[in-house]
Parts: sequence; structure tokens; C-alpha cells
Amino acid sequence: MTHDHDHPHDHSHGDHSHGDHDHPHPAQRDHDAGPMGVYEVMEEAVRLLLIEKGILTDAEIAAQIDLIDSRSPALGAKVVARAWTDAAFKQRLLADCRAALMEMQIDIGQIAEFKVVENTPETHNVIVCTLCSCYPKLLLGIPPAWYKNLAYRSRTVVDPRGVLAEFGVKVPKSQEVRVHDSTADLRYIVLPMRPKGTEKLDEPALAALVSRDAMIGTAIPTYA
Amino acid sequence: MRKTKTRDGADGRAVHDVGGLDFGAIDRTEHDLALWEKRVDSMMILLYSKKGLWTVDAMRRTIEDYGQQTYDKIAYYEKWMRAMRNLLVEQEVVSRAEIDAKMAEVADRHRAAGRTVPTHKATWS
Amino acid sequence: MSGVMSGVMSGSVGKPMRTTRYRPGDSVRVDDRDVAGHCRAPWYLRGQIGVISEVLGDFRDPERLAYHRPGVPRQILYKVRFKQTDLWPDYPGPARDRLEADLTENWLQAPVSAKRKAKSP
Repeated sequence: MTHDHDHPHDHSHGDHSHGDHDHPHPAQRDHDAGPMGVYEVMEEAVRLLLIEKGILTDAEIAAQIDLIDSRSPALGAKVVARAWTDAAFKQRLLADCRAALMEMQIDIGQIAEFKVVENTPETHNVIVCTLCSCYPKLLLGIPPAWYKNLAYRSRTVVDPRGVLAEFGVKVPKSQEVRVHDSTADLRYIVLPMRPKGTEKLDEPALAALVSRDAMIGTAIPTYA
Repeated sequence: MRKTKTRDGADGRAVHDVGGLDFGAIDRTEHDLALWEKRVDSMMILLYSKKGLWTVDAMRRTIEDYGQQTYDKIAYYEKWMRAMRNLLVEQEVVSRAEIDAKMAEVADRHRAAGRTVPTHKATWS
Repeated sequence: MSGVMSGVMSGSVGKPMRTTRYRPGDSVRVDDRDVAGHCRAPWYLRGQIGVISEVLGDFRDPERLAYHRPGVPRQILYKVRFKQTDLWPDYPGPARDRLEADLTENWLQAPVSAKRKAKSP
């Protein structure tokens, strides 16, 4: 997946796995080499205790990390590109996300249901979780830090157009902005509109236009 | 807009219930997770999904109980780690004494290997 | 069973959904009762009137799951649509803007005679 040059901060994490990639971002507070924080000490202590007691194994923990690392905005972008090119698939995706993703060998597990909301000329959708940080991790991977932070969680419900403007998205007054506060057992994914002029592009080329933020609703795919 | 409400539960708004408040501009800096944060994510999900020791709802409830000062101060996976520790004790999987002793052991080992490890007193609230 | 998806919905697999109290298009008011403990009805929606846009399924009750209880009785989950200009008196966007949230049946009431209680800022 290519980087979206309209949004220099919006580096896609698409092709990365296991933390090895070309454009590392700063780690979220603790570097392995820096001073060790109390919660990092706690993590190691609790992990060792759980392994000693036979509750978890190193292999299970590593496998779960690999599972989450295998999910990424690039995977979500493939789903979007499929929906853009296959109208019947799009209908199945909107009606039953779990089953449609399974067609693409994407298993979303048992923790939550997923639901896709479609952007149209009438409606622009944007996703937030005001109470915690619900996110479709088993499709898109780990959410960006801003999605989990208080500023985005608090303001998106009361001033969505202002928040979208901060992301460089200007929604015309003629189009409804529809905020989804994921307060329960569903995780939401935005199906953005296919940009004009992309009729000749194949699925991989279309997928490359779809950023993580476009699937949250804080970006709009464009094609020059 | 309800910008100045405190979240002490007095008006039914708990610490995590932030919809409609204003915390200023959104910091859009991208962050990669440190390995220990990935492990926290992984262990937490294994403990509530595969091992059935609690539910995601119990994890949320534990985090919501922190109090505003702690809730606002500590980072995302720090909240998760603290919840994991508290729930393991609540469900009698491990004891406080075991965790305190193991944390001291871990800190000593990393210090001996030359890493800076501040002396922390683990807060049990 | 409109909008119900296949698979496990917090343990709902194979279970027929019981009769729902509300249907798409019904007006509902979010209860404004005191909260004791874990709650997934956000503060800013309590006391507000919206319209059911979808019946999402039948889920174990998070308010009980949070305390290691089995989460029964199960709760019907609804997608409820609110007008932004109803939620926020000084909403800066156009009147067409909407907000949707997923709320359990035990937090919803018929709005008949229920006076809408605007929370003071």
C-alpha cells in the first residue's frame, strides 16, 4: 500500500509485520533501551507468573501478536476494493460483514460483530467510540493513537465537521454527516465512495487508494 | 456544549464517558507499539476470549474504576495492564504478594543487566 | 430479525431473538436513570429522544457481564438515530446531520408523555 501524500501524517501500516518496516514511528512511550516504566515491569512480571502457572504459554502470546500483526489497513483496503468492483459482494458485505469477510478468508473471531456503513453522495459516515476505543482490530489492526485519545473520542460526537476539517476533510452542507458511536457489540468500518476516474483500475490499484483513515471516515480516497 | 463537566460520577458521568467534552486539538502523531504493549494486547485478549477468565465488559469496568487522575494520566496499554493485574487478583488467579515479589525480581534483573529501572511502588488502586 | 447477522453475537448463536419491544421507525427516549457501575449508555444521550433505525440482535447484558455474571436476561440491541441539533443546542453543523449509537432495550422507553429533559450545560 502506498502512502497517502495528501496526508503526510497518515502513514499506512499496511505492509508491515512484526514491527519491522521502512518508516518506524516512535514507540508509544517506552523503548526497550530506555528507562523501564512501571507497567513494562508489571507486564513482564505478570507474563512470567501466568506462564509459571500454566495459564498462558510464550507460543500462545506470540501467535496472538502475529494474528493482530497480520491484520492491517491494507487488508481492509482489499475488502473495499472488492466491494467497489463487485456489486454483489458489496451487498453481502453490507448485509452480513462476518460472512462476506470469511469469503476472503478473513476470520473476525468471536469478540464482536462487524458492520460496514457505506458513504454515498447523501451521507458521509465517521466512526468513534466515546466510552473506550472500540475498533475493528481483526480487520484493520491496531488503531491509531489519536483514535484512542480523549480529544477525538470527546469532540467527534459534538462537532464532527470540525474534527473532519482537522483531518482535511470538508463535507458539503448538502451531505449528511453521520457519526457512529460504537457503544456496544458492533465494530464499524466505513466503505468510502470510489473516486471518479478509477474505472480502469484493477483491484490492487484501487486498494492502494484506500487509507486506514478512509475506513474510519476521517479521510476520503482521491485519484489524481 | 458541555465542556466543563467533571467526570467524578456525581452527575452520572463517569471518568471514561467523554462524549461531548472538549480536550483540545487532536494529536495525530503516529505511534508504533512497543513489544511490551503488543504483549499486553495479546495476553489480555487471550485471557478473556480463549481462557474465559473474564469478559471485555469486566475489563472496561475495571478501567472505568480508576478515577479521573489515573485515567487521564496513564497511557492506553498501561490502562490495560493495570486492568489485567487487578482482574487476575480479583479472580484469584494470582495474588498481590506474588505480583509484588515478581515485579521486584524483574526490576532487579534488568537493573543488574544495566537498564535504568526506577524504583516504583506499585499502586494497588 | 432485521439486520441480524450470522455467527456468534456475544453468544447468541442459534438462539432465536425474542420479540422486540421496538421496531424501526419507533421513537424512543433514552432513560436518564441513575447509573450504578458499568453502563454503556453514554451520558450525552441519556434523556434524549431518537428513532430506532435498526434492530441489531440479541446480546448478553454488558452491565452484568462486567461483574462476572452470565449477562442474562439478554438484551435486544438497537441502533438509535438522533438529530445532532436535538443533542446539542448550539450544534454548529446543518440540521441534516445525525448521530447513531447502539443501545440496549433496558435503556429505552417509549417517549409518550416523557418530557425531554435537556441537561444543563
